[in-house]
Amino acid sequence: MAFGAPEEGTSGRDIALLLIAAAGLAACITIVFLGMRAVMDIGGACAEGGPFVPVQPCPDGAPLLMTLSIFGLIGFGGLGFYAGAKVGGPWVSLPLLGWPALFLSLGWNFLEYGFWPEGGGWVWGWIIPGVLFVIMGAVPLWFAWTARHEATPGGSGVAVASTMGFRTSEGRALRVSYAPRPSVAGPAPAHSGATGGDRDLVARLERLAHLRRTGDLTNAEFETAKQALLAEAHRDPAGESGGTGA
Amino acid sequence: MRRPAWLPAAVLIAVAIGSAVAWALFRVVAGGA
Repeated sequence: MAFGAPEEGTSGRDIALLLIAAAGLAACITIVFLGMRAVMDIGGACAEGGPFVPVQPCPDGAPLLMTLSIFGLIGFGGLGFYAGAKVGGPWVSLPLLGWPALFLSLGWNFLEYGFWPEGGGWVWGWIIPGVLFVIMGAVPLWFAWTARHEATPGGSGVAVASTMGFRTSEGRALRVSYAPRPSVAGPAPAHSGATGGDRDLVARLERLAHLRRTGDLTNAEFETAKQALLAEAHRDPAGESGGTGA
Repeated sequence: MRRPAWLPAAVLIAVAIGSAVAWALFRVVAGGA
């Protein structure tokens, strides 16, 4: 499965799965956020069962909900990557926003309880992890923000994913946004032999197809460029205009 | 089928619905926050 599927591949099912993933991720992050506040309301820790006498019982239902939510984050995140890749463009990166959403919201909890505790004063034991969580959430968000222009429908749509190290199904790093675009109509490397022009034509057609798969070219642009290449090859079968030395 | 133009709005609505449902679920199960 290649990231950045062609637009004609977007189906209602893929969109529905992406929406389910977004709703599920939001629900899980909300429950973790509320569960953390419920635990912090009773001092920041709770324990039940086992060989120890429970000093502080947990809020009813909170441990179960939080446990399910943490697994839900993984499951809905995976679903979001799958559906986002099928939808194509920047949508493959959507679940990545769950990371800053989670850490910034939990960091806010730490900071709120640290700067405005019920007893007054500051609680450094909450403030320090709060600052760390905000940094962990804000830094990736800043990187995503700086790459937002690459992630628009006009761009390759995979820049955010590429910054996270994703690769295409062909194993190439998704760096098409940053690398100079392949020169479709420009001079091609010289080939020797009678079939150099044919090989060059095939290579250029393959490059065109790759650009369409990654979303850099629309179908109409792909067809136009393909026809231009084929017309050029027809006029110049030996590949002279492509720089080949036939 | 091309990506619909309303997809960003639909994702935002899905996020809002997911958060609201989770908030209500937590209030019911865990007694609120």
